[in-house]
Amino acid sequence: MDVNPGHLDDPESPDAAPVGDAAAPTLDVTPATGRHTVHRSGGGRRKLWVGALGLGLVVVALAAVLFNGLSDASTFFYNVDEAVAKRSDLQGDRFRMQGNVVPGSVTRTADGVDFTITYKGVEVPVQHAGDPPELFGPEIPVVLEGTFEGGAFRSDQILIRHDNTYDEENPERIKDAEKDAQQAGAAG
Amino acid sequence: MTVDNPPGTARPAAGRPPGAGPVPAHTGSRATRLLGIASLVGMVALVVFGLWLSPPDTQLGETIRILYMHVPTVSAAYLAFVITAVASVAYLWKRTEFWDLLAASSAEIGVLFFGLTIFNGMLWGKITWGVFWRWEPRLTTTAVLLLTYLGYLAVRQIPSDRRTRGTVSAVIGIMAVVNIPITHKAVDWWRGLHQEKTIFGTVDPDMRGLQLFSAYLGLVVFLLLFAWLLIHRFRVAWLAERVGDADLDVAIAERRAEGAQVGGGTPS
Repeated sequence: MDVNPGHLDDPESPDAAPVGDAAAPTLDVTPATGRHTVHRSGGGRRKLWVGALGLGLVVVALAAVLFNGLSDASTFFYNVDEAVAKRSDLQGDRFRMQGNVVPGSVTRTADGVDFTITYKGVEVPVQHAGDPPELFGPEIPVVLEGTFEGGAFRSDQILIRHDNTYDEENPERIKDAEKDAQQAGAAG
Repeated sequence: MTVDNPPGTARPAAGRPPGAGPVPAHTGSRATRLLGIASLVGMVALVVFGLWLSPPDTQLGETIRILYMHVPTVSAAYLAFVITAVASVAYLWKRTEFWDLLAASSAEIGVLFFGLTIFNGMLWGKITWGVFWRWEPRLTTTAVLLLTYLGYLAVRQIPSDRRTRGTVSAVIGIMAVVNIPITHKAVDWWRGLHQEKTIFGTVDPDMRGLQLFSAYLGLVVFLLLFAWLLIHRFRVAWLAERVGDADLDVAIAERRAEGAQVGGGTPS
């Protein structure tokens, strides 16, 4: 829709509106409406392909950046064995460590819990400040946030790493779970 | 002002005399009524199965019930964003209003479902992991995905002609979909807190009996709800375009009348 005021229109220009009354009725400014309205183009097919190519490059670049940025596997946590291997580098740094709680190692302390976590046979004693989450327990995979202090790991946040296993609860299992809980309590 | 009914909706009643005033525009049809009833009934069934009939989980207890909504809402959101991408490609090819509005409507419903997914996922996270949020791979890519589609919807609000709006948003709609497989596979590719895929891609989803049934029931119900919302949203968008057309007609008629008054002749 291009309705120029007359004083801006250059009559010399090749695309100037024809002067005179006869031109007016041929100027169709009715908007095309309806379900099959086509949004008309000024560009050609070639422009579309160039655009598509550029778009493809941007998409590939984006994917590469995202993949490289995230593919450093240790960004979120170290497993216990990796953390122990890098202990001298990590000394004093705050990082996350993943492992399984060793059954029977959990003891309550004045300000939290002490326990041992293990991964691939490597064990590290943990001193945790704060209440452990509800799902915390023996053999549960956890991610701890904290620092190495001497031989132990001081954590202030326990994240439960739930895997995608689900089981319908049944009385037998509840009994088993309660027995486990009692054992853990007796140990502490 | 009379407005045509959106595609797919019933024509005005046959008994209606011509010239009986403007036809009330609406977005309902037999298909949407059936879909609406089906999703409503399904939702009741999901509540019954999800909250009462299915047993709690050995480890997670009652928390597992969040999954019967979490997985379906994210699946519907992914589907919505894929529809947006496909419709965007079709728009760049065919240049018809239909594809542009379908892409936009689907993105909007997708953002709704995706926001819901993040919300119920955060509740799950607080109970299961112990925290609402951590910048781990799945959650990070999820946040990026939501922001991208919010950007898509924001760009559509920038005043411009329909072709420019359609082209720009179609380009974003195609680019944004790349993040879906990345988000979906994030749990396999990188270490994180989020558990692995629950339904799709797992050969043996370790869910059984009524738990598995509730999960799939949730999926079906939320997909029905999605279809119902999408059709209505598309028709509303279509009606909004018709109102825009009518406003344009009025504006043009006014300018022409002004031109005739001021210039005493035809507009140039």
